[in-house]
This record gives sequence, structure tokens and C-alpha cells, in this order.
Amino acid sequence: MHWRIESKARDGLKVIREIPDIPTCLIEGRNGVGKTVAVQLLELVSGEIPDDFRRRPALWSSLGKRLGATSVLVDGLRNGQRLNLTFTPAEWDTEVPTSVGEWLGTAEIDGKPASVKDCSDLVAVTRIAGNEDLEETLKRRVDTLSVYLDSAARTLRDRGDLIDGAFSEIGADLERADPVELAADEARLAQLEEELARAEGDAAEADRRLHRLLKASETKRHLDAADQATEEMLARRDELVAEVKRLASDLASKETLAEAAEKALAAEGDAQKKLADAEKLLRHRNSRLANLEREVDNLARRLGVRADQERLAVAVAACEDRIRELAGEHRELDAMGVVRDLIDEIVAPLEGAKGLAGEQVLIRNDGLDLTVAETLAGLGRRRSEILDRPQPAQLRELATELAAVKQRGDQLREASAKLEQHSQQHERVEQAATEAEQAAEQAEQASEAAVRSREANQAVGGAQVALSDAHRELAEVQEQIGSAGLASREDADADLRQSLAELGLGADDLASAEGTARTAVAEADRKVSDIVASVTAVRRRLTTRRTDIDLLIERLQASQRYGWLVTATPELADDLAAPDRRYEAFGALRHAVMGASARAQDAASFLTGLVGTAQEFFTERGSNANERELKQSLRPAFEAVLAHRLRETLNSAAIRDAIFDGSEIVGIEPGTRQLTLRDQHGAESKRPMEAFSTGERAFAFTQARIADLEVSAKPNRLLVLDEFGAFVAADRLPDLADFLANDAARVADQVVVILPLHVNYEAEIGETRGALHERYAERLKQITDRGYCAVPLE
Amino acid sequence: MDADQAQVVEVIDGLLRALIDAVPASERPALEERTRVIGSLLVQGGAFSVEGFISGEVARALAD
Repeated sequence: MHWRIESKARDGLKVIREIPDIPTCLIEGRNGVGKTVAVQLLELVSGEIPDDFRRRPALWSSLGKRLGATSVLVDGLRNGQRLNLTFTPAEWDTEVPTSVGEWLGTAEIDGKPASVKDCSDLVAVTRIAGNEDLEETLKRRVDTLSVYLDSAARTLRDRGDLIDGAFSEIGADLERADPVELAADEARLAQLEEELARAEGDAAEADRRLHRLLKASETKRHLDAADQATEEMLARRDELVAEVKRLASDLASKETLAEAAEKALAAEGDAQKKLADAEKLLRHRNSRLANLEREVDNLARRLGVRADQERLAVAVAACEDRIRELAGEHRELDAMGVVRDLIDEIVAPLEGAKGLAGEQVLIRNDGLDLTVAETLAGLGRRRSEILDRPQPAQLRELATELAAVKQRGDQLREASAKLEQHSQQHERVEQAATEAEQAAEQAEQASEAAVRSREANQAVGGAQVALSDAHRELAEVQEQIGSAGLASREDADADLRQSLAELGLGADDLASAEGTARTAVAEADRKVSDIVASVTAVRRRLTTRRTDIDLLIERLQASQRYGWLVTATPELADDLAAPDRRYEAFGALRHAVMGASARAQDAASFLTGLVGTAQEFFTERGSNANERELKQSLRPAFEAVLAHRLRETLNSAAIRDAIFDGSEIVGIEPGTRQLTLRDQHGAESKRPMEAFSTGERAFAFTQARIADLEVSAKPNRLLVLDEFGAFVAADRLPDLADFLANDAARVADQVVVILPLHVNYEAEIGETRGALHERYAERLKQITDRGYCAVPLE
Repeated sequence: MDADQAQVVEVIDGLLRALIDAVPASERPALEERTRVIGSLLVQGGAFSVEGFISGEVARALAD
């Protein structure tokens, strides 16, 4: 591979401008000519951040300020490819990056734009420092691990910040909507409700005790204050009770006698009533008879006839005869009246027919046709004529007499009817009199039983009154005794003894116990009030918490930004919809979201703690804790893991054979820089690390490290051996050249060995001849031209 | 995250698993949980998303 560097570096930064296409190339030059910078740039092209920058971050910052738009051009790659990468340090971060990215610069492959990654995928550049001894190798491994841990920690922090920012809008709401607090409040409410039930029970018991105490005190007071009046009341009460009992018995007896008398009276019928009814009927009928007699007499007198049926019948006949005579005479005289009557009879039907047949011919007589209407009109005129014509006087007289005779006849008939009624009434009166007489006889017999019944009923009434009076007085006395609160002295004593037994007190303790009981009631009530207040507060808080959670869930469901949260898993969506699982599911969601950023930051801090421990691996641990101190229980474990990884580095076959005579490294003590070796016989021994960093072992160690290099999968591999001055000082270059020619081809397509200028070619060229002289001349020419030479390593 | 970062993830994962085996038993559950979280957060390339990570955490929380 042919490497060219077109430098735009400034401010004294130098970079060698060419590494020729020599398989094993020696670059020898003055200090400061830019050999190391060139290697660093090649490592960047290969996608690696040089260890120098990780160990000394200021070098990175300095490079960024001074490099300018320097370009690295590589040709002679496999498949004839060419690579060109121009650095853009103006866009670099001042912080040492953890990895190479597209920010490095602009790239081309075979003249076409390409990505930085595409370029780094083409070439692998591995640098090995020749002055790195065993301890430094181990330290470098630890440093590399620290870089990885730090890189991961930064990624975790960045992602933690990303998570934090993603939920910033709902962070406060999530904080407030806490299902754990909700569950705690629910548990607290249940506990408070139990306490309240107990407190209410205690309060009720305290109240009962006080009430019992007061009642006992009252009883005792009444007993103490009992006086003669009370005694008399009690005695009177007893008397009245006996009196009531006696009167009730007496009343019962009298009621029995009255009942018997009534039965006897009932057996004799209700004679008195019958007598009264009979007398009443007789009176009524006599009165009716008298009225009839008066009416008959009046009629007879008015008619001038004796009140006699025979004579009345004769008079009625005479009237009828006279009426006939008069009617005949009247008929003879009143022809017009006949006509008038006839007209009256005809007019009515004609009036009815006038509406429908008024124009119909009714009378036809010798050419004279009269319609219904005409006939009606003519009859009307004729009737009027008749009515207007005065009647003859005789006729009037006949009409008058006829009316008078008729009237007389009616009256005679009425009188006859009355007389008949009188006769009948007379018979009824006689009947009523007979009945009354019979009733009187019966009544006389029943009067004695009635008297007895009456007397018995009176006796019952008297007994009832006496009993009622006695009851009333007894009730009054009971009321007086009740208001005094003393049924009896014995009862009161019994009540008091029972109350004192229940209270567990003596009679003399009542007064003092009342104060204690009142205090207990007050305290119990206060406790109930306090608990009720707590219950109310917790209930209110519960409602608020449930509302906060429910509202937040609704908000999330409706949110375009956060809607995915509530369907993060199928189970979550279902659980949030189920009333009995809603809050638990929300708690899981909340825990996941709220803890995510914290978990990321915690993980980052953990890895940072590992970095601190790793970096102190080779230092003496003091008593002061590092700010990145790993948890004490994990430190020994991490150090053991670290030591194991380092042992793996040293226990490669090449290094064991070259450095440790085949022994196995079974222990590393970084603090004391001691290694524990176990030989093939199992014998263990401790050796300091520096024992393997000097003389032949140092060279062998370096060769072993080269042999241990992992083969890169990239198609073009450059191995740079830097700081190999010790090899030169020990005249080991030929051995190194042989080694590189035989073993390096496995891991590299090209090897570059970088040395400081170790020969004064200008001074010594005159002492050389032949091939050596030619070599010196070539090197001197290159060094004169550009400060360094690049020649095959021979 | 590029190839180099992929190597970082591989190294960290190996380191943490070795650490789990080396720590006292009482520390193992917490360390295993941390390792799980780190693995979920350090997914490679563009695979990390807040939604993906949180969904995984929610599923785990529900299972617990």
C-alpha cells in the first residue's frame, strides 16, 4: 500500500507525507518530523481512535485545532482500489470521541464519493509500541476496557435523557397519579374504618357505662331521699290495688245478675213495647176517625143532607137526573156550541197537515175547490164568528145550573166516600182498642221482671263507676310513684345492686366514678371525631387519586403523542379497560415509564463505577473513597473479573512460551505488580512484573504480542511498530526483520517500523562502502529532503 | 452505533456476565436486572427506540 498525506497542518504541526509501498518499511527520522502524527491519522482512517488521545485528551484537542483539511490518500489496495479521505477537524468535537464516525471528514473510493465507514472497512491499521512492557500492556487492556465502559455509560446517559425528554409532557401527571399511593390509601381507609368501628363501639360502651352510672346514682339518690310521703304513696297504691281487685270482682257478680234478669225479662217478651205500640196505634186511628167524622159532618151540613149512605145515594141520583135534564136543554139551545166544538176537533189535524199538503184540494163541491190551507183559514174565521156571538141568557143560566148540579153531585159522592171511610176507620179503631187492651194485660205481667232487670242494670252501672274511680285513683298514684322513680323500695335496692355489680363499683364510688366516666365519654367521642376526620380526608384523597389516574389514562388514550403507551402490550389495553385490574395495570405502566430514565442513569452510574475501579486497578488503594467508587461488595468481584481477563492476555501460548517458560499465570496482584506462576509440575511462585520487562524477555514479549494479534477481516492490513528504539539499542533489528518476514505476514499486508534517527548518516557515510554506502546515501538523501527516510527494513 | 460500538456492547455484555458469576449470591439479582436494562438500552444500530424500550419494560412490569 502506498500512503500519501497532503498536509494542511499549521501552527507547527508536522506530518510525514509518504509511506511508500514497501512490504516491510522502515521509517527513520528526526524527532518532530511528524511520524507519530502520521500513524495517528492512519489509525483514524481505519476507524480507530488512537490510545494516545484516550490517555491524553489534550492531544486530540490540539490535533483538531492544527490539522486543517489534511488528506490521506492510499492506493495499491487490494483489487486496485484507491482511497482518499480529507479530514474536517473544524467539525470535530473537542471531547475525545469514543468512536470514529462520518464527522471525521469526506471520503472517496476510486474517485467516487464514499462514507468514512466505507473507507475504514477497507483498511485496518494496528499500532504496537515497542516500549510497552508487560505492565503497560496490562494497563492498556484495562484502559481499553475503561474506554468501552465509559462509552457505554455515555450511551446509557444519552438514552436516559432521551427517555426523560420523551415523557417530559406527562412527567408531572405521572408523578401525581400514583397507584401505589392509591393502594396505600385504600389500605389505610380499611384500617381507619376498622378503627372507627372499634372507636364507635368504645364510645357507645363508655356512653352506656355513664348512663348506667347516672341511673345508679339517681336510684341511690331516690333511696336516700325516700320520705313518709313516698311511703304513704306506696301504701295507698297497695290499698288501691286491693280495692280495684275487689270492685272488679263485685262488678263481675253484678253483671252476672243483670244478665240473668235480662234473660228473664227477654223471656217475657217486650210487653211494654207492645202496649205502647198498641196504644199509639189506637190513638192514631182515633184521631183519623175523628177527622173523618168532621169531614163527613161538614160535607153533610154543606149539602144539607143527613150523613147517611141511603139518603146520600138518593141525593146523588137526583143530581144525576137533573144533570141529564139540563144537558139536554143545553144541547138544544147551544147548536153553535156544537159547531164550535166540531170546529175545534177539525182544526187540530188540519194544522198538522198544513205544512205538507197545504195546497192540496180538500173540499170539492160543485166547482168550488178548497185547499187544506183555505179550509183551515175558513174554519178559523167561522170559530171567531161563533165566539164573538154572545150566548143567549137562558143558555148561560143552564150552563151555570148544570155546573152547580155537577158540583153538588161530586160533593155528594165525596161525602159518601168519606162516610164509607169513616165506617171502615171505626172498625179499625175497634180493632186497635182490642189490641191495646190485650197489650195492657201482658204489660202488667212483665213490669215486675223489668223492675228486677232495671235494678240489676243500675247495680252494674254503680259498680262500673266505683271501679272506674278506683282505677283512676290508682293510675294517679302510680304516676306519682313513677315520677318519683321508685316502684318500690325493694325494687330500687335490687336495681342499684345490679347496676353497681355491672359497673364494678361500690355505692360510695358512684360520685367519683361519674367524673371519670364523663371524661371517658368525651375522650371516646373525640377519638371517634378524629378518626372520622381522617376517614373523610382519606376518602377525599382516594377520590382525587382515582380521578387523577382515570383522567391521565383518558388523556393518554386520546393523545397522538402518547396513545401508543396504553397499547404497549395487548394485555395492558385489556387490563386498563377492566375495572378490577385498571389501577394495577396503570401502576405497571407508570413504573415502567417513570423508572426507565432512572434505570438508564443508574446503569450508567454503575458502569462509571466500574470505570473508576478499573482505573484504580494498578494503584494503591487509599482510605479515601473515589467519587466513582464501586459498591464495596462488587469491587472484589470486578477486580477478579478484570484480573481474569488480564490473565487471558498473558496466558496465550506465544507469551507463555516466550516469557514465562511455559508456566501459567494463575494470579495478578496489580497493587504489588506481582504475578503468580504455576509451572508444569504444579509448583507456584511469585515474580514481579518488571522481571519480564527487561532484556531478552522484553523483546520476546513484544514479539509475542505481535504473534497474538487477531487477524483482521478487513482486506488491507497495516501493522505499525512504533517506539522500537530499544530494539535498535540492543541491535535486535535483524532479529525483528526476520521475525516480521516470517510471522507478520499472517496479520498484516504491510509492516511499518518507525524509529528515531539513530545513525548520523552524514558523519558516517564516508566510512561505508558498497551496499551499505548506497543504503546510507539513499537514507541521507531522503532525510535531507524531508527529514525522514522510508526504506525497506533489512 | 457502528462496528466499534458493536464491539463495545459485546465487551460490556461479556464483562457483566462474568461479573454476575463472580459476585456474592445476594448481589446477583440486582446485577442481573442491571445487565438486562443495559442490554435493552444498548441495542445496536438504529434499533433503539423509546417506544420499543418502554414497551419491553411495561411487558416486564405486567409480568411481575
